[in-house]
Amino acid sequence: MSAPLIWIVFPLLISVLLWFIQSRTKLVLVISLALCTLLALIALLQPIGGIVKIGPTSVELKTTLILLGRSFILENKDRFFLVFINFAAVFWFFGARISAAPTKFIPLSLAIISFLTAALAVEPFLYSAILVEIAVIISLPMLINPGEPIGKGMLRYFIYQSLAMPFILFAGWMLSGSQANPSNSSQMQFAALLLGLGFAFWLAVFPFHVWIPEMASEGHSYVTGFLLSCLPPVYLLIMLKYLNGLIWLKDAAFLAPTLQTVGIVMIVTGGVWAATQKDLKRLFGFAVIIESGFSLICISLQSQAGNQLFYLSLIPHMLSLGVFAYALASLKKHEIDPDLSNLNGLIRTYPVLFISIICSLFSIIGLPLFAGFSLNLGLFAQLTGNVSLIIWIFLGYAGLMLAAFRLLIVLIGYTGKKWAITESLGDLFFLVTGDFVLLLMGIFPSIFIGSIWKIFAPLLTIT
Amino acid sequence: MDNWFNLIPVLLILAASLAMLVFDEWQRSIVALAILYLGVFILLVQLVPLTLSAVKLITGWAAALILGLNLPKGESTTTEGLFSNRIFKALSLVLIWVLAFLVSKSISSSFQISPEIVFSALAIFGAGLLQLGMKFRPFSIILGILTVFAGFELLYASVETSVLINGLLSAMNLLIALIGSYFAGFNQIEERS
Repeated sequence: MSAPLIWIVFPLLISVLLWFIQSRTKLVLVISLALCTLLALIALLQPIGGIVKIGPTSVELKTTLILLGRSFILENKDRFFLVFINFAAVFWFFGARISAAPTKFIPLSLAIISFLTAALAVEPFLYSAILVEIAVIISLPMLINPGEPIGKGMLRYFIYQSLAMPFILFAGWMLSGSQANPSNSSQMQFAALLLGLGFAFWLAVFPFHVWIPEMASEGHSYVTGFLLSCLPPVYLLIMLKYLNGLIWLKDAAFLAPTLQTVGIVMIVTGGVWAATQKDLKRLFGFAVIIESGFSLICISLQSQAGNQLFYLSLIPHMLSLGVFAYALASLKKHEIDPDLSNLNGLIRTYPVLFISIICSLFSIIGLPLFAGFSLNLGLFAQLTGNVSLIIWIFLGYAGLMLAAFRLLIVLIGYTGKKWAITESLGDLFFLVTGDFVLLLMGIFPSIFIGSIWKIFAPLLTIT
Repeated sequence: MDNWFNLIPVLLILAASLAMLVFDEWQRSIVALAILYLGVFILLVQLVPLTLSAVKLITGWAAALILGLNLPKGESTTTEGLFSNRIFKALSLVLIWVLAFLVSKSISSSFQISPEIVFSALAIFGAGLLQLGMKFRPFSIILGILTVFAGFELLYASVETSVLINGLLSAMNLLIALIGSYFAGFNQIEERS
């Protein structure tokens, strides 16, 4: 038995099965939650390449699956991703039913996760772009709902994600060829430019960012939230794989400044546009851009501390975006228009819902007592020698903070209504738990984030 | 041009991409897409084994067929049928061809492929990009992405002969066509709204 069979083929087959029984929502939910929990636990506890003992029989868990002459390899260093993506799936699937996500959400998401895992496992890794593109194509039916027109954001998402593939494949081919002949510097620089363009399309770097806020403002918020929180980390992990696989690129003098500049541009543009947003859904889109910018700056440090910050930030980022997306989906359920002009004083009627939005925004900004605080502090500690960079990051976060405080002012506006909790039990459970964890991560970072790191660090071989 | 026979597929490709951009009727666009895949096949067969190029042709035609069977009922709007609009689109495409022609020689030397194949690939890629930029309807976007990928695959086939990768690329084209047919039903809703 091989690891790719367990984490790629098996969930893919289950997703096909779930597609046909999607109308039985409870059964689909139970199967998907059980499957993803099991896959995450196996990744957490069982070393890949070792022997699995099931009663009297023992099976070797091989690292490689060979398919049509190409290999899919999942090694021990990939266990972090496997644990992360499967626990993330558990988190997102758990809220799917209570957020009234479409029935096709769970089967298609499971298939998307399988393809994203395959994208990280395929060798040569240059081919990961094709598998990501297939995952993107599979995600499209989730974004269209019967009776609703096809949104421009969704179409732009499809265009930009698709355009990334040719650039990345060509760049990968050129760079792998150049490894053998490093003297051809012009060809390598051209390849690096193509690669940069491809990742810019994927990660929605300015000016290719338009689709993120547009897509966030259309369709079901929980579905777009899942895509917008799962895809960027995978792209960044693929980017890390490229950097580790292509020595010339890793050692290139222009790499760190380029990544830093792109990260800063994402944070600043995201922050500035967030400050001018009146639509909460679009604000969510800009929060995603800011999170990606933060991760890029962590990677640009090219140090153990930078990598550690990047991996550590994945969990609070996913959690804050998940809580935000769930709250937005609940707004739709309660038929509340997410425009600021319609939210005056609504915190009195839906306190938990709006406090959750504020909490997740504060966590993304990195205010004290919230999960993002220790991470931002860690990043600033790494950037102490570069004051201008810190100022730019502050500027971006200030934009998002302005948006958060403006929202807060609108929400607490006096309307004469009395305070009442009108959210459903499901909403209360999901949102309160999410807020509680975000706060605990912020108040006791060494206990929560530190202990998470202690579990995950051995899986990454980063200590 | 060393091989004058290549003029036929190149002209087929240019005519097909022009038709796809200029005409707004879905039926004509689908036929043009099928012709474009034929042109790509004739060029591709000079680079890769016949079986592999046949797979690309069959996949392309299957994609065109899937789209053709589920054409959106909503026809083009009246403004898009204007003569000046068509002239503008055609001129833009000619500009793309000129650009493709200018860069094809330098790329062909580094890829070691004949310039007409590089020119065709870039012309198809450019036409697809133009389609994506000029027509913002779900069905046109599907056609645009398929066109972009057809151009890309023509160039990429010369460097990549892996069965898995070519299989995945073919599967991707078919998936896009399936999504296009899925869009077709929704497109009508959009037209009404």
